[in-house]
Amino acid sequence: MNCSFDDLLSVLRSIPGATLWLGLAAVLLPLWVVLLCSRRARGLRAEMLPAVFLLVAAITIALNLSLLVGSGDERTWKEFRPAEGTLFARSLELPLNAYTCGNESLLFLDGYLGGRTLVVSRGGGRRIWDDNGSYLVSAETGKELIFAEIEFADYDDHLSERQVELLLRRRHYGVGIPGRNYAVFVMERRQGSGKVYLFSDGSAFYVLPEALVPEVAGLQIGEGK
Amino acid sequence: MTRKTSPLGLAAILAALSGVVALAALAVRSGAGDFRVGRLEEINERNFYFCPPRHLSTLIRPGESLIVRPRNISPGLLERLEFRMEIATRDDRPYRMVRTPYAKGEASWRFDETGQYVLSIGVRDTRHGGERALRKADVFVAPGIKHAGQMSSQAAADMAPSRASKMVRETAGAAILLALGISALAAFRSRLRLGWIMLIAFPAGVGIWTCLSLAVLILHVGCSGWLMGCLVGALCVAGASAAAWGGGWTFRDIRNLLLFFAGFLAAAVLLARFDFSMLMWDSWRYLIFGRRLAFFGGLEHAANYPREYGVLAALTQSMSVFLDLDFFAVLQPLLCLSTFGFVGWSLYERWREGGRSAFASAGFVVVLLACVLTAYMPAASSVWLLPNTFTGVFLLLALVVLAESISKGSRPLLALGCLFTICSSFCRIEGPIAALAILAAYFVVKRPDRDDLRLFYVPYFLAVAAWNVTIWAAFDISGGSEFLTVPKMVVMLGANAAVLAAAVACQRRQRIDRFLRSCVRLLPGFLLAVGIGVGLKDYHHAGCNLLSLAENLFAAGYWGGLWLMMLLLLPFALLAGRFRGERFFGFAILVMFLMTFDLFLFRPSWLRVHVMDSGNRMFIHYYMLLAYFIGCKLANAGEQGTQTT
Repeated sequence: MNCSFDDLLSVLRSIPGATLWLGLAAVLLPLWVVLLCSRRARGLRAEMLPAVFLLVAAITIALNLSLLVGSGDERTWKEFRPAEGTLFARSLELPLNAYTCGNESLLFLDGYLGGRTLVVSRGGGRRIWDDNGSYLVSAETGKELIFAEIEFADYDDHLSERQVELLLRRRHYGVGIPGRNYAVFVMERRQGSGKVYLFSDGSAFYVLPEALVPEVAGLQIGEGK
Repeated sequence: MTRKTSPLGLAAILAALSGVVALAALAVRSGAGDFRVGRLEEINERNFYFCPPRHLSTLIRPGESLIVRPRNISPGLLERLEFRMEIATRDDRPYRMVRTPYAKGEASWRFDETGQYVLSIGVRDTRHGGERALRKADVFVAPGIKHAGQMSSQAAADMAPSRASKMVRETAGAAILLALGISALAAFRSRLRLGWIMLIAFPAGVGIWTCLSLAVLILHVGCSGWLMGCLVGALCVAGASAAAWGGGWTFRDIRNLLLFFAGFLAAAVLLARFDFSMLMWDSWRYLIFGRRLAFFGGLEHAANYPREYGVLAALTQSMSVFLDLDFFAVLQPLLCLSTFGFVGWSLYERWREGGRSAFASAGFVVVLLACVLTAYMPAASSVWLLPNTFTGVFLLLALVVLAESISKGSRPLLALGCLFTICSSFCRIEGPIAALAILAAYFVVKRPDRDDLRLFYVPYFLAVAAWNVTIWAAFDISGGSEFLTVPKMVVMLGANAAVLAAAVACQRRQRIDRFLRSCVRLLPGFLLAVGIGVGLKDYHHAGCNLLSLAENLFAAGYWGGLWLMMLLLLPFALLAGRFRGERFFGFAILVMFLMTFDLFLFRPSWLRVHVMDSGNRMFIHYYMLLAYFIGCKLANAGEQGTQTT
């Protein structure tokens, strides 16, 4: 896993209202220096500090409320809250494309659920679910199970291969986009071929028969409903 | 001019309060009703809680069968499908797993033992062959559950306890805890402000309940509703008697107290009515843990929970068994409500002390609390059964109360601070290590005297040692647990024993006192050096963990703009004059933050960008602490002088 300056920049850029915060910091920093160093300005602290507090607080409340109602930012409280799932649902028709990105295999399923891109990252044999791994590994058959997570991204905001690469590098084993739904992807590997079981967020289930992730292009989709 | 009450009048009013509680308790018993238990007939979006990102969860009682019957499938396809279940235990080691044979149309399994299971549902298409794994679900089999399963059919809904009955029980539970806290604090009216008594009463009640339950568990006397009821009743009577004896109450005080009591119960009724509670992931485990303790009356049937989870959240939920509830939903929201109220009141007092108008002070408090409560994590963690919320509440209360006790030399406040420190250390398995920050700060700012030993260091050490030794004796911790290991236990007990020994030694010799306290003053520097050293050694690990943490706190939206606000305001706050208790408060916060960052660097697993990430949840401990610190500093914005503590 790498942790680069690019990753830091991408985190900074993804701060909601980043420009506003940056502008605020640019204004407040000189003010802080003046209040700290200027003997004359020290007398103004009693008035200035509450004023600074009110300014920052107003921006914070506005941002929090925008996240609450969902305006101005795509992430809302609703997405952080637990969703409800169904066991069976609609049938899907998914065109598949496969990419390989370093040691990570990626599977794109365009058009998923009418407008979302599904990004599958393979775990490379790591135990992704700390608490689940133990019982999922099947000692009985000796098969190797690999766990990974599936991340959802908006279809319109289709991730480029480069973006996915950055995403994977930063998140070690493909931990999801915050605020997004997740699903579990399990691959059963047996001498170069295997079955891929795909779990969505509960709205569908799919079986990709006899496939290995790096070779999934052109796969037949298993029957759903 | 207010008129003083006679002890007799006060006793009468407190007796009336106790009567209200007794009536509430009676209502609990009489409202139990006859609830038949149904069975889970199908899994769908309504009868399962969906725990993001991966799991469905359901709560049933022993002897209940879980039947999986799919829906929304075409008859043709359904005819071809066969289902089976794979059930694995979660709280027993080694893991046990059973598989049911494939059955047409549905699959079922009867859960006879309480515990936590993972249910995997498999499906087979008889025409094309091949197995498909469908869905995983957590099944929590808890004792004494009335409303088994979350059934979706109308018949099941009819069997559910009535909303009114549930509201009465929840409110009665809240009233009992509040009365317990008020009666314990009322005896110290002459030394405690009424606002403090009212707002701290509920957390104090929760703390006293926890300590009583712990004592019962440690002494192996069999935890039962009768025993706990008698103990609580005896404490209430003793507290009321002491309050009547001690005096200091006026009619105005009692009127205000009764109004507060009524308002609190109204809040409890509303919270029970609109039940905002969230149960996800570990919430279920704490619920089962607590229900096992109360239902079976001891640690014998507690499985592995005591060595993997902090006991406080479980003990608070053990009340749900005595109250005949499945889940005591209003407890945590009321605890947070009390704490936010206390923070607001305390900050208001400090701003008023700074010479500001009541309007300006109240406005400041409202704005600060609005900043906090409009962010997702603070609001969600108030209703989400999590040990982190309890930790945050009790850490804050312990620091505020102890800071006040230092500045005023108040023994009741010291004892109360000790109670909250004990509670904070029981919230999580590694709680005693986190509570060391409080002990270290207290040690640094105040030379230990006899009162400190009697009311703080010794009770704290005894409580922590007694519980940990009990676990050590009752469970195998030599490799069976990922959380409570022998080295961790030794560090916890050893470090706390060392603090106690240091406090005793400081009483004997002034030179030792100076030396030891100087050493402890170096603790932040030591933690910082350790963090830098470990971080440089494995900078990829450290960098990625910090990056994930930064994304959680600033960019993911879980905290809104709260932590950015803190970052921007902290330098300005530091320009203000010192407030009462700042040295103690500031030292404790600094040590806590450094310990947390060191922990992130030491832990072998990675932090991740997720709402339930361990690092993200740990900041639930600190947001209110830091907000309170900034608020106190800004209250002294015009002051240039310094305080001693």
